Amino acid sequence: MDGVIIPHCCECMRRLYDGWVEMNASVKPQFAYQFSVPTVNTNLSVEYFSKTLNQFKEDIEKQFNKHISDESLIRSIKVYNKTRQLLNRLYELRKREKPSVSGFQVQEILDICMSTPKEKFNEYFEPYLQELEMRETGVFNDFRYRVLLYGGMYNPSIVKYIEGDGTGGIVICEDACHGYRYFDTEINMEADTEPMTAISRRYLGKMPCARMAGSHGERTPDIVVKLVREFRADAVIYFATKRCDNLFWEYQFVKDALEKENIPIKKIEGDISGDIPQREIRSFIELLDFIEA
Amino acid sequence: MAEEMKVLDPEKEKRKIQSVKKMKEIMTAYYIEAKTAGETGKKVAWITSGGPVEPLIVMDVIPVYPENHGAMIGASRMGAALYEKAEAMGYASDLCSYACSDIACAPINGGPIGGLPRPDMLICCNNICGTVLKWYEIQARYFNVPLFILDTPFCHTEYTREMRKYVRRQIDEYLRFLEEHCGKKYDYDRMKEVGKLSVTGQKLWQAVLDTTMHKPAPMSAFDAFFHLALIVTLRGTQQAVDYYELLLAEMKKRIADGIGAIPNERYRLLWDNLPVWYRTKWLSEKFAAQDACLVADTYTSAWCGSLKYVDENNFLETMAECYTRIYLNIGVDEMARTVTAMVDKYDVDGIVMHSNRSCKPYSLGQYDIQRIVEKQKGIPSLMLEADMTDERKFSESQIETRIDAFIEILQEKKRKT
Repeated sequence: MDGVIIPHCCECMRRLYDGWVEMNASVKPQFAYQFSVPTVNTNLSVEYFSKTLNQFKEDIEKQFNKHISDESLIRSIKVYNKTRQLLNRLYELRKREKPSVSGFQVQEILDICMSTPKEKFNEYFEPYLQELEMRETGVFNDFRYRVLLYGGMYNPSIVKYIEGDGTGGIVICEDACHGYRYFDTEINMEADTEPMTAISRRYLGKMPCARMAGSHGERTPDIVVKLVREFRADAVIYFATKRCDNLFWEYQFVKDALEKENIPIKKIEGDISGDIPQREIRSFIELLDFIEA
Repeated sequence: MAEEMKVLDPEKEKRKIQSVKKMKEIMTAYYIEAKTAGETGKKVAWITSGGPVEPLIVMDVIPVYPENHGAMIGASRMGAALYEKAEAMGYASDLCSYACSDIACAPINGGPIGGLPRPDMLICCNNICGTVLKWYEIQARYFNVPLFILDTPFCHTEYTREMRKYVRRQIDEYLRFLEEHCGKKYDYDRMKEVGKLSVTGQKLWQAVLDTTMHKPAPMSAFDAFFHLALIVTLRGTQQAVDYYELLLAEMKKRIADGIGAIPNERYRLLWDNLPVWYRTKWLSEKFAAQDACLVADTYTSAWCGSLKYVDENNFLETMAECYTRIYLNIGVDEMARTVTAMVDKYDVDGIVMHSNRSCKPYSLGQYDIQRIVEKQKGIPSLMLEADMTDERKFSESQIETRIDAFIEILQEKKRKT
């Protein structure tokens, strides 16, 4: 590994970087880098963050002795925007009455997307997506409830437990870092001619993660309700990752908003790996049966 | 009757800090003023402990510190009960106990002073942690009052030109926010006076803390935890300056009279992290019984640690840097450098680290700091696991055993030298 780059988005990430820096020299990568990410989305923060990203670019150029031109940045933005378009199309399929993809399949697609150069991903994924779009049959015929997942990085088992073993659920959207927030909006080069400003505006203005504050962060409950309506979700499972304080703080805020709209919500606590309480998920789905009855 | 018969121990009496009485009077008057603000027409702003309070003083707004409230809740041993209430309100048990107990107090006017005075506005600066953002948002929604967020970037080792510009411009927005919500123009001339008072107060507080360089130390970190209240709460006022002059004079007199914080100072220790508020007396007695005095700490010195970045004659322009580069907003290597410098400055024999369940930015990274300082200075350290406010997370027997073992290490080390 040549480098590790850790944006400072919360206390754990801050000290994770310190962990890398303090690590034994035999393990430590030659390039350990951290930069601050504003917690608010304002004109000032967009300007500051774009300058931070410019500095980041210059430091990468120095470190790897490679020039990054505006043209190559714009080219890269276009490729990433294409990925975002494709993933948005994929999520459109999940709004159907009988979604042609399961939550588990989407999770696998996102895993591949996150770890593959985007040019390659776009090339291989688009034909598969077209095939899915043509498919009229649903991936499951026996699901009873459409579930929206809310969280940060979620545990893969959670989707397995909702959709597997005849539980009766299907995950139709994830308002999560490992989900919709990854690609929800494109970088708008028409609004900003300077690429870093456009990148900055997109990353600070995308669907807010629980770390975001101010008027942008306050949008969270409205966004969850909107997604529930758009994807026709019956319920929300709020996955609170252990030690992600922001998710634990936001829970009550989101819960109050959903309950006002009579949308059932269940908090599941767990780590991003290891086991999570399957029984709680099953009993929540059973509770939905009870509400339905 | 039993009270009347009580005979005072002259040894203990001579070690009592006399300024405590004055401090209590000031803090009582301060809370009365804040609690009666509704009658006097003054505005009240809740502000984070690391937030820039000086503009509030300029605008005659009474600053109120929910974190001070958290400390009072802890010292009154009301933390666990209030945290349980917060849990019942939907907040998890791994969250900050200051925040949870304060949130639990709001709807019931709970806590040792019957709840904090209702705020007219909230000022939140995230230089100390990210939790305050969520905490203040919850309270802003609850009280339905405006919230100003001062977003200070994390500066691991470097304070860049862009950071300076970003925070400085936000301070202008802060002043405009105050103008809007106080209904009057900002007084820039008064800001100069308040800035000077703030710097003078911080210098005096540093001078008070530095008296413990003397052997024996005239006060301990446990005393500093108490006397800290004014530099947090009334920073930028003449009252704070007067008080710390008084306290400094008393400390100097104690040095002249040879009065130490403990009867027989044999081991000098440094405390890291927030106090364990509900056990300060127990811990103080436990260490004193072993002739160990906690002569310095990283917590109370944080309120004067950024003095090097501020220009008292140009406070407004330099406060951005001063408030961004505080102890908790820097990287582990720089924190370790600060601790190492304190080890030398106060000539300490060992470090006591409180691994605080509530405070992640303070506690994550402590093991790295421990390793770095142990390696560089060759002194032992002790890690105590507890919480600043929630007494359910304090295991007395376990901590007692660890302290005893640590003192044995110190004894052995002393014996060899």
